[in-house]
Amino acid sequence: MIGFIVRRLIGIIPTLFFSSLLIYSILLTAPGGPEVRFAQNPKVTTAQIDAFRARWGLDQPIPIQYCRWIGVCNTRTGTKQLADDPVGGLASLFISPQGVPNFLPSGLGGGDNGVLHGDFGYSSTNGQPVVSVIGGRIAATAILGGVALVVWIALALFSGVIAAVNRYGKADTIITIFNYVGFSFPTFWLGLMLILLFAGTLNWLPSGGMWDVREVPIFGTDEYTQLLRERPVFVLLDLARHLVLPVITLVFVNIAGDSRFVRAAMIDALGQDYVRTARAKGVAERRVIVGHALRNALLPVVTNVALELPFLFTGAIVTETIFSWPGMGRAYIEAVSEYDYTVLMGILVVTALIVVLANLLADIVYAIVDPRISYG
Amino acid sequence: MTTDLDPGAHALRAGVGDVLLDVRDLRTHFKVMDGLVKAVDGVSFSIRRGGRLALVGESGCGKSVTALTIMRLIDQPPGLIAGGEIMFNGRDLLKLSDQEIRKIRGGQIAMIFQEPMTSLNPVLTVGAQLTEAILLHQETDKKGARRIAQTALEDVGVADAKRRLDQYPHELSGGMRQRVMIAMALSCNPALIIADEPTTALDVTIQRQILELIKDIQTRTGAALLLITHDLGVVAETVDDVAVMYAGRVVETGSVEEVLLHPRHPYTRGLLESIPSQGKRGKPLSVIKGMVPNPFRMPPGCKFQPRCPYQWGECATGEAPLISLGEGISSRCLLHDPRFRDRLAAYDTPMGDPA
Repeated sequence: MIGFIVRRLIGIIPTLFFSSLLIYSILLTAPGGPEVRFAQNPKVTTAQIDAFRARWGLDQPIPIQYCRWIGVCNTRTGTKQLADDPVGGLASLFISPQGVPNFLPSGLGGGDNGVLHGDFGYSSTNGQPVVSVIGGRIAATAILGGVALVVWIALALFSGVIAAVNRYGKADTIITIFNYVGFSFPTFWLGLMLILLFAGTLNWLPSGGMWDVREVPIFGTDEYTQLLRERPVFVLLDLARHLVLPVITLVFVNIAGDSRFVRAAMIDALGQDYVRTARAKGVAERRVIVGHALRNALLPVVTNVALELPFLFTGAIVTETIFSWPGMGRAYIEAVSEYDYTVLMGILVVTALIVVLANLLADIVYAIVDPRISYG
Repeated sequence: MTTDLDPGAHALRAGVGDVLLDVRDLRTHFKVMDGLVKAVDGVSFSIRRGGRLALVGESGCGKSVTALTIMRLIDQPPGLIAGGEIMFNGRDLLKLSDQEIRKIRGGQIAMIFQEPMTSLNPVLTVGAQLTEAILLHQETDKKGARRIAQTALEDVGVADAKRRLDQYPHELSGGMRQRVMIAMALSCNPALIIADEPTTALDVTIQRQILELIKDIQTRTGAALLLITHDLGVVAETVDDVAVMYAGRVVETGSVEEVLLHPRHPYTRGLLESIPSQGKRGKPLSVIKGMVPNPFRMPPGCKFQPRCPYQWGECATGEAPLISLGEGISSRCLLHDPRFRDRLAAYDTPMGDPA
């Protein structure tokens, strides 16, 4: 098992390398660049734009830009510096200021720039490090996504089992209709209707955001943490009130897939010979369903859930936007609309990493829950 | 030969007092999209305490459905137990509540299934599956159940039983899994063991071992055995009495010698003639012509009439009851109706004794 995990972790390296290449080239093919946001501004001169490009290293050849972003090349620019370098020529690009290959960890004398060293650069709109932009958003997304995921998986399990046991019966029909309606609902419309009803007409719940701006400081700041420590019930209740509508939206839209999946897996399991064997032993029906059928039906479900975990970190773009939730999904949309290439690439690379890790996790979990699977 | 015309005649060589299981006029139907399938339509037979009966017939004749109905394991719907009685130890199993039948299942009646590869739960250990039944039906704790399970495994010839308890089904061979199923069946000392094609899915070499084991267990524990099979070779070696089924009905009953050596019903005769053997070398193999009737278009008279080489006008309209011929022998054929004694003489002569 450990050998398997190590092999898979090594296998992740080329996967991530190629996805980073792919992300880089897709963004390059998109029209414009970080400087496009000045294009509509008549006060910005061509000279200023050229200076901006030079400052951000956008005047370098594209392979060098990528090489520096990934952290294999150092960040020195200008022919003069290159000429002064003892190694000389192009090769000096790959050497860190300490004189060893740049891609090595900085502790070993390598460079400290680039994705390899955990440095995703700075946001080209506000100058913040990309890592802190993402870090500030990921917690908010994990809270919303986590609550929604737990609720919808619990409901999906419950409704899927009920539907399978009462196959083609009344309960199954109701759950099926509910699933298809939810699945077919456009998220933005459902979200807006919920806001209109519960925040507008009834005025029961906030229409968006993650905290009450009049009472609670900004999420993630020291003041927020301090208030959470002093008045935990108040802060958590405030958070819960803000969670209700986006969670309902996410659950309603996402439950269908898992619920149908559980139903199908359960129907399959209930038709198996070992279920008949269990009944023939005199096992009570509830135990047959939970102990024998569901135990088997869970195998594919667990894998499916593990593959859904990246959602916790990547966020729900539409839902977060509608409910002004300060999460990753919204950070992504903001980065796109502001031509913030560094943040955009940071989010995409982190997403790729999380997806790959979730796949590995799915394989590992599968081997744990299914005794027939073992990795040599 | 005594002949009487009693529709309810089903008594094999069993006295009234020592009958363990008495199935009377059992009807199990299935409501499907295209209509009603009468999978079991008037099946009657009985088993003595400690007796061994085989239910024989080709695929789809209703023998497995009969077994599942006795265990009340038919899914309803689409299944429907339309009529009949299953008297077990003097109680009608069809009238028991769900909870009462659960006590009987696995406790007093145990079942061994056809597919050992899929009949065990793949995610539970052998021990967990064995002790589950023991804990349900016996007064014991987990430790005691584990001991009983280990003894049961040793009884069915599983080597290294203690280690096997912690193994999963996929770590065992097909024969070994069937041994586990048998251990599961015998662990609660049932009065009746139903074995539904227990050897069909196994290797030929393993088949004999498993059959011997079932016989051995049956003799040792004194449990009665209801063996469901399509294999007449298995029947000859394992049981005392036979009930032959065709199209949801019992068409012939009798002791194993009588049925195999002197078959009364034309269907049984056809079955036996279609077995290849040394003596028939070089001759074309005789077959039963035609197909099993479509369950939605059953012939109105005798269900075997369209395929029967001895049929005449009467057979297409009237169906014979199970006619008792004495000594537990009975046949559902108009030839054995006293009105057609002349025809019976002609039927008996050309065939003679197959022995």
